[in-house]
Amino acid sequence: MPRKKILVSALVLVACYASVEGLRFLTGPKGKFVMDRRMSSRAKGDLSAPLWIVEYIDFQCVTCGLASEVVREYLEKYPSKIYLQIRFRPLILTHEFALKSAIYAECAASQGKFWPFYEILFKRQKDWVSSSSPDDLFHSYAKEIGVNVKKLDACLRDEAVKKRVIAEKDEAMDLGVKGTPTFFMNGKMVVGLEALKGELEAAFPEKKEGGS
Amino acid sequence: MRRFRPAFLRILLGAAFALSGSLKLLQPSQEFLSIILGFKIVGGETARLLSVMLPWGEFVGGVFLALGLWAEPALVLLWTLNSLFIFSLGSSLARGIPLKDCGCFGKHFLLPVWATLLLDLGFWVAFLALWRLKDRSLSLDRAFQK
Repeated sequence: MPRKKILVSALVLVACYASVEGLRFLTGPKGKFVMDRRMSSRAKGDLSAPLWIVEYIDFQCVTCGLASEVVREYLEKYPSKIYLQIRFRPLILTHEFALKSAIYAECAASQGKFWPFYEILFKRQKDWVSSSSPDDLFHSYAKEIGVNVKKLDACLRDEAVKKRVIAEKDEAMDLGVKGTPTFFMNGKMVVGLEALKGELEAAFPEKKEGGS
Repeated sequence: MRRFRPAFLRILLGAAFALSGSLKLLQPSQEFLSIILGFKIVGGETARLLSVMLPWGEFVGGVFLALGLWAEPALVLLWTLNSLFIFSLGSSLARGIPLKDCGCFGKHFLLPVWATLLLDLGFWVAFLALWRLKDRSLSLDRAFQK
């Protein structure tokens, strides 16, 4: 076997590796994941819990709704072992009402009503996603869970809230969050429902063994 | 030009797989892992290993095939991967698994599953043709043989 051929093959392999790493450096995630303790209005569970989950969601994403049920199940079973924080990653290009629903949820959060609003948005996702303009439905959901509508409307008009949600989306993109649901479990990125189930089963093997 | 047709086909196939592999490599491996898990064929560590190894196999195999360097082993590798993709896509269609994205070209080119299956079947036939032709024109293998 000619030595030259082996040498060229080795060079091609090195070039392949270097080009991928170079492109990853140029185009890859820019940010570093950090847990933001200030987002208490969108958090659940015990801060001292050994498992911290940050979930990037889009309210218009069907899988996010399914994932929220899985996480809720584990949170109910292990309330002292999981700390959950929700962050917005509206998929603006593909989901028409993704940004709007996130802004409504942020406004509900400012009145301490994030979780009931979160639940109702996923439960009735089909209704508002199929409507031409979901504002009336969002208002009716807000009323139903006891949100002060005047304050809600003032919040919706506040450009700073919209900017905050968009900044959160941009931050998610910097972290490499391209789709939803994406989770960071103790800082480790986990994408999608199946991967989430796998990670949770690994973290709580007794739940699977118990068959519940 | 006609005699170079097999070489062009080899370069095209190699480039397609190199592109597909590189697009997967440029997204977090977790993205591809979630797609592999979505097929519901493998799980756990196997899926994790595949999410890391498959894109590298496609990329490196594609580059080597396009260059015509160790072209036969590269062709066998890519043909095997291609057959795996056909099996996975076919099986997901047969089981009625609603895949939004087969993950074949990362998140950049989203094709319906049936279209990707047709494309992969086309690739399979092209691999077969290349295997039978055993053509070495415009390849580094030929240059090293001299």
